[in-house]
Amino acid sequence: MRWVLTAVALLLASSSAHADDKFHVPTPGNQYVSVTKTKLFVVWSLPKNLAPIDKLLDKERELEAFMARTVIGMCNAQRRAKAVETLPCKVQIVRLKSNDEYSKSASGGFSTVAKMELPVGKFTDEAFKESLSKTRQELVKWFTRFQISHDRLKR
Amino acid sequence: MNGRRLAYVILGLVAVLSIVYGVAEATLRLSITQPGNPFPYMWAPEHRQKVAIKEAVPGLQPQQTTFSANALGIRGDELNIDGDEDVTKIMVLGGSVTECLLVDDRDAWPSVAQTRLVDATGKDIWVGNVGRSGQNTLDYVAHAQILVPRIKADIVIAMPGGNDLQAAVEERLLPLDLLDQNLLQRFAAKLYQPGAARIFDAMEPSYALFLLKQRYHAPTTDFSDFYRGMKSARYNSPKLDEIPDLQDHLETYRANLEQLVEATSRLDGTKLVLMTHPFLWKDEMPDEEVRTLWAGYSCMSCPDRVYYSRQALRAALEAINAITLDVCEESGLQCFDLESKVEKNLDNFYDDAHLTTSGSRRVGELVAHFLLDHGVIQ
Repeated sequence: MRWVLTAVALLLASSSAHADDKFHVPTPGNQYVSVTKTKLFVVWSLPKNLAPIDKLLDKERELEAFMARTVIGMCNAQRRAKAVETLPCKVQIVRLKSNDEYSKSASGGFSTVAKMELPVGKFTDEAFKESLSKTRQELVKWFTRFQISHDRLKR
Repeated sequence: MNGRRLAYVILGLVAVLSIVYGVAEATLRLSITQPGNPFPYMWAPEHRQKVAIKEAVPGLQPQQTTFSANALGIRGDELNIDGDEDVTKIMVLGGSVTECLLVDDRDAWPSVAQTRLVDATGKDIWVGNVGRSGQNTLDYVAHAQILVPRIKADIVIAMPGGNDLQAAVEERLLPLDLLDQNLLQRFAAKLYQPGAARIFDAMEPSYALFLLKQRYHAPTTDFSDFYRGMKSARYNSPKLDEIPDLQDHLETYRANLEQLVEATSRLDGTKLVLMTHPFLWKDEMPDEEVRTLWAGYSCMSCPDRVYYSRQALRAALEAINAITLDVCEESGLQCFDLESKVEKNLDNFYDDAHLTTSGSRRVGELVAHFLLDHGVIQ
């Protein structure tokens, strides 16, 4: 029983480390990854209650920096997982119409709240480490596209 | 008539009715076969509904049609997937333009195509309509891996593009890798209704009575208000001439369509036929036609909804259709440019792309002719 408690404690500790004000690590169940001919394409789905970012909704600049680092980290992780080194990374962030895990694209059930794109070289281990000390303004410059609909997030 | 004679008459009537009921029940139990579970039901088995337009709206006169599904939850004749080995099975994948909700069962174009094919060949040919409103190419990729193998279809006809375009303008067209089986299972969990098999328990006491109840007590859904609201909203809204990120969307569409080709190629002996998607949009449209349109919205119900012009939608669907033909030819498949064969008028369409009864009949004939002329069905 003790090892179970230890494992849970470690899990919670690591979870809180990721969920600090710097970035978030989406669960595999909330990411959909595909490699097309021209892009590494990641869909990150947020629950309706926006749990990973809800505390930042009224702080737009902090929210944008948080999402930028999250996207850099996510692209880096998927670059490694998919062994994709020469494609840019596009991230589409969708908000579900329920708090369940992302389910199905075709018949809706979500709306797009952000689109971001990172060029090759801006989602490496080094880039991610560097991003932790960068401001929102500096981070946004790394992106070839950085489009967040705050209206749709607040709705 | 004395009392004894009356008793004989009543007994005779009861006996005849019992025999008729028994024969009907036995016939139904032979023709309706429950597939092994879990089965990927699109609709509940033996689903039946009436679809009505009670008040005229642009493009639609008052009407009522019947939409029903067989024991497999597919719009089409009954099929025993384990027993009908000699039947040529064709499955049609598509969205609402294939589903034909406002067209009676027998006039929906897959059913019309079946009738023509049977008439022309004299063979047992079954055409199952797997079209469903809102479904796009990703859904067809899932069907190709889950539903089509259960039916053991010989031919799959897909009419992709229309809902891919609508998903694109709503920013929800995504390039999911549904050849990844884990992702496929998550996706499929919301696509099918595995619990629908419970209907067979409800049918068990008497198939005949269950179907009679379905026939005479089917719920009626009136779409007048929906269409009036959507068509009026579009007509009265400003339109944008450029669909954002169209090139990205076209690339995504191609990737998804290539997955459909790949998924179908993995099936043993199943031929894929791809068709372009028809539409009403054209350069010059009289006001009467313009008032029938309602597609091309950025979201169905949201405060910041915008609409794209019919010119933008037309150009985008033409580009999508070109990709369909391109992928089709590259893959060595049979390709039917249906869009070029369906005249753009209100006799064929009641809105942007949905077919009227006469349009649906025409498309059914065209598809049957294509399959026969190109040796897909011999």
